[in-house]
Amino acid sequence: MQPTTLSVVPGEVLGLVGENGAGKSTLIRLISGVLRPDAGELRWRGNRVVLDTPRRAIDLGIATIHQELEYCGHLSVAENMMLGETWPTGWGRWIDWPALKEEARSRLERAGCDVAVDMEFSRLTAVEKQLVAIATSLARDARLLILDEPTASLAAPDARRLIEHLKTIRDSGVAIIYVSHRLDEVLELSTRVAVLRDGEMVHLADSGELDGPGLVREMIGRSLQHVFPRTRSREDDEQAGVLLRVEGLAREGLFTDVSLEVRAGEVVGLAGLVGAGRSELARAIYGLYRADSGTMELLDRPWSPRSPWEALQAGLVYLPEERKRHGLVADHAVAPTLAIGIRDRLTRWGLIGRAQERARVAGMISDYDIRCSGPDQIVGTLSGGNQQKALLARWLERDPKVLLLDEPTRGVDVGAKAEIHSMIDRLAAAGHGVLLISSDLPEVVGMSDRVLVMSRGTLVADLSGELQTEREVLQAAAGLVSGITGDFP
Amino acid sequence: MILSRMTSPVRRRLFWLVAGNATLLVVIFACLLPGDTFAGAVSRLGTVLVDTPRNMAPEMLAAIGLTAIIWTGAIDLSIGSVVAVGGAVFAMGYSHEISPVMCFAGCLLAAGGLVASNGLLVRWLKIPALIITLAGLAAYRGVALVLVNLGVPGFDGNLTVPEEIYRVPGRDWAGWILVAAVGTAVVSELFFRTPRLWLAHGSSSSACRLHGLDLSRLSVTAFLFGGLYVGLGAMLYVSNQQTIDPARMALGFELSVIAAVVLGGTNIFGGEGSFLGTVLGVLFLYLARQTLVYALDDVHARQAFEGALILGVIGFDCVLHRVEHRMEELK
Repeated sequence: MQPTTLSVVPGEVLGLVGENGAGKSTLIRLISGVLRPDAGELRWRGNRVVLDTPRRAIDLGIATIHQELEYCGHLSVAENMMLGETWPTGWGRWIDWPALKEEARSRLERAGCDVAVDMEFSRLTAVEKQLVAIATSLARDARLLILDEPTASLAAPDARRLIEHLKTIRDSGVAIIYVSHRLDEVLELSTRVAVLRDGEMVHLADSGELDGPGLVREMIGRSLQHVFPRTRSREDDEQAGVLLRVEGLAREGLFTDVSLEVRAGEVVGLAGLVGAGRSELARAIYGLYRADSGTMELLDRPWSPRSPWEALQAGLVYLPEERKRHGLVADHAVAPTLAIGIRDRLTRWGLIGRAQERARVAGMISDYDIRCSGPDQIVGTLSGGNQQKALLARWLERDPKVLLLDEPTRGVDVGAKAEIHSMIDRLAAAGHGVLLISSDLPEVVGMSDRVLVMSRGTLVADLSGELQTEREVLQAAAGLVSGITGDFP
Repeated sequence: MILSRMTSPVRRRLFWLVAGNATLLVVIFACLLPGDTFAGAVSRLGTVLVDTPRNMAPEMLAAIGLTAIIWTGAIDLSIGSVVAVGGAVFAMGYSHEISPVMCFAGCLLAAGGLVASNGLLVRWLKIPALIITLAGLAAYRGVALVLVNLGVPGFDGNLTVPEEIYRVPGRDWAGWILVAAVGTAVVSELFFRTPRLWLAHGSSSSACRLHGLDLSRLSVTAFLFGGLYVGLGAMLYVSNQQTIDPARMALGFELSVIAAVVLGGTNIFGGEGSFLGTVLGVLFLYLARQTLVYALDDVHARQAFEGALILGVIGFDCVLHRVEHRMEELK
């Protein structure tokens, strides 16, 4: 962080934006007592304070909800809510469980959150976890609430629910620092917006004075010309052969009677609410588990994968939704992270040539513009966008025919997002087929040649042409309309 | 109420263990029937049950102590050697004709103190408990041998304690001590905050830190609790022996205790488990050993079967857990 002066007043939402690595998380850690500043001072309600521990910040009324929510999954909601506090006790200092639950319940009610306090925390949905975390903070009389990417893993309706909830909190006089890559949310919710770039605050203005493109320009220091680039024509797609064909695929409890096609040079969007069965469908196509019924064809051959390895061998790759959990070994260096995708091609007589591996990895870092200090940097320390680029590079190096991309730009900044979009466009232009699963409506509509919409495990719409709009996708995803198939040029 | 505090995998493990223990009792009875009348077999089964608390008390107490430590995400691999140190202190007291009560107290304090000091070392040195206690496994055994060589006049490898008075806790009080200690542990798990915080520590130390909890203090309290229970277990173990041989005393004890803890549903990486599960896990292992005594003559075959049984029970439960977890994740 460079020297930064920033203030926030009660009842205000200060939006904090910047590319990955701009210093937002560092600033949040400084304010929440996780890190101590080398220089400068922090004033709370006019008094100079030293925040040497998170506890000190909490006691003052500064509550932070980090992007990766930290909770004790095996304990109940009530226990998690009361973790750092004195628990109600009865005779002999025994825990008064009914009082503990009642206290948790009333806190949730005050925060407008309806969650069973007995439930194991790990069983809550993503939005419920966020709401419980906010309720916990407010109950501790938080006067400043810091939220780091609270909607990153939420589907549109859940994100909307959270935003409305935050507006109520703001109106009650609580100050909020809101960090997000979703600029429309930032502009809607914030009173002022601060832009960080390379550890320095480069812009601070009322949100009314800003718009999306202007904010992006401030964030990355240049304008983004092509948010959804398109270097291919639709006519090419229609003449191309089918790479992947799915007919009546079903798996009990997850998805039913799904039929779709992905042609060479085509980006097919797959939209829907969280839990609609999109990721599950992609995993079944990839061979992570078998479908109960239906047939598939890959490159004009019957396709019934028994394992992901078989999929990789056949030219089908899958980029998982949760990159940290299912895509990366965070403690590994960049080199093995990239090389693991092509280890079969680097191996001779059962041995991997170190020099060959490093040369190949160096080429991948350069080709895919993965910004790192070198192949030995720990991949978990890269920014979200570069982690995602590393994952993509790992698979693209295999030159796959079909790519299943599950939320490829989730949690990455606008610059990296544009690069990933450009990469997807180049892949399609080169004749690859892409199935793009995304909860980001502008992305799925803007990047795809046509959009399939899933709701409750089935395909309910196939939208293209004039029908390929965010409104139509949302309506279909919410189950308001179904059976739409159309292209009205 | 006790079940509502547990996670579903732990509850499921308890169910398996209750069913498994009942099955083992039936198998033992079936093994006793040939060559005896029905009434005779019932009587012999009764004897087995009466002896059970005394025989398994040391292991059960140590397992409860270790459960608390494992909940925090730590482990203590040195408890076998710690029991040997307790035995060495006991032998020194006996050889200097110190009163039995003082010998028992010395054994308890030495063993319990070493486990507690492991916790303090983890806190001060900031080295993982696995490393510190792995070093302790060898070091404490050496300490035990040095103590008996220096402190027991004319020590020649082992020391016989013929007086019955020195075996009162291990033989006569073991059952009562066990009931009191298990009851205290289960009640503390249900009604006190600290055991819940040990679980929280093991579940997510970063969440605890962000909530302002003092993690190193929590770890030390877990090791103190563990020390008390391992100390009690050591006292019962040592006072149940006629001969004290620190070089071989409680060899492999820690492995058997860890197996019981894991069998009881405690997650070896912390954050999940229950004292009741540990109690049932120890009981299961004990009854399995008794069954094998009746069913197999070959000692080595018994050991192999015991290992296979542990693997089978945990493996089966893990498969169920994985399937359940996968379905949850997909939903």
